[in-house]
Amino acid sequence: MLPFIKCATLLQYSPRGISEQSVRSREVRDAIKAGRISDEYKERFAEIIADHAEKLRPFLHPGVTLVPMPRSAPRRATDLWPAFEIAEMLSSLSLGLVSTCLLRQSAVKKSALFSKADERPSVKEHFDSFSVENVIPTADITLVDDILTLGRTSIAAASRIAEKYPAVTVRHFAVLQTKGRPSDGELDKILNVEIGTIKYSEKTCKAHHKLD
Amino acid sequence: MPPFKYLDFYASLTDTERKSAPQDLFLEGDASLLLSGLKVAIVGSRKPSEQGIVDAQCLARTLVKHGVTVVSGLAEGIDTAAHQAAINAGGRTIAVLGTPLNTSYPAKNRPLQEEIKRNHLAVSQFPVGSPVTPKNFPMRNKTMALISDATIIVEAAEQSGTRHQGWEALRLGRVIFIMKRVVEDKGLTWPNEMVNYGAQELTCERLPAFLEGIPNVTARSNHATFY
Repeated sequence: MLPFIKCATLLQYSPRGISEQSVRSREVRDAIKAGRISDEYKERFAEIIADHAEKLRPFLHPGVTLVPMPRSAPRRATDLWPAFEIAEMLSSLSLGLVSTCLLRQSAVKKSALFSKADERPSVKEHFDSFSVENVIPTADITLVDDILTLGRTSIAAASRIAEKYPAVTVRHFAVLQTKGRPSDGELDKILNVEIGTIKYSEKTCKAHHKLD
Repeated sequence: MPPFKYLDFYASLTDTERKSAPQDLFLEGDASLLLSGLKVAIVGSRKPSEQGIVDAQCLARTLVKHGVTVVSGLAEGIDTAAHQAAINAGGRTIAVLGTPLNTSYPAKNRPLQEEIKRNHLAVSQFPVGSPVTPKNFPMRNKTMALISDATIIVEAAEQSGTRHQGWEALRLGRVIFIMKRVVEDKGLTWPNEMVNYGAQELTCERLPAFLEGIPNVTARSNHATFY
């Protein structure tokens, strides 16, 4: 596995907070999961990305290949694919070109249903379930996802791409990050553009995500 | 609350949702149930086992306990058990009918249908006066997948029409559960096929833990103003 990848997120949501902000953050999550990305949201995302252009440039620029993260199971042609909707939106803002080269060959458990980390699929389970098809056109790859939680899926996907194309640089971009204050799980704000690193430990075979 | 207008509802759907959305929806009862809150469908065989009935009732009670609206199709068997258990537990339920609103199938479910129209919500895509044909039920199943945030298949035979709802739920990106004992039934092939495309195993005991991870994808919030 790759030892680390850089990651960027725009917003954050609290899975369990009860404050108005936390509840609203879950409404944002739900809309993203449903693929509800209207023109109004696209304009708002464009504003946020422009406001943080320098931070986000390594991840989002015209020369990057945007690779949407697959769902937790193989996908049929007409199945909803939120990460693809997000990648297409970014591409329409001239922030990269979409390549659907990363596929899920076998199903893994849906991580979002398991709040305990040890019940979620492992990095290895994710890695074994992915395959890379087709040629990647550029040396800069940004994996595009709806939500970043532990980073297991991300590091596994990046490692699978790097295995086939060792010369590429892989980064990860997600609209939302799972967060909450350690004391009470609440959020102070939903908008929180962060750059971080997802690290993989060969010793524990686990991934974790930290702010830079 | 303003009267329900299907055109407005249809306009709020994504392209993926519109692909199998009905041409119209007729409502009788509390329309707010359709437009707010988490909704989980419990569906399955018209001729269930005793365990299937027990499971449907347990699942419905658990959903009600957590403030979730129980959706089902008012068919015999699992659907009836789910609706009735939800009502008995003091919860809310939506019946998505394979008939027009003024027809009951089976006829013996008329009292339950009237109760749901009075105190909960009955929904149909079939105009009053239109015939009831076998084609109605797979269409109803797709509509049920559309209006629900998740679907639980309690029990279904190899050729059961319930499978249409499962596949449609997967297409829409909804969470779909199949009871663990049904996935483990070596006499059936459809459950593992669905698991291979993303369906999750479920027991009634595990349902509360999973509820937090079910997104309210049917909600229509103006989230661009939140950040």
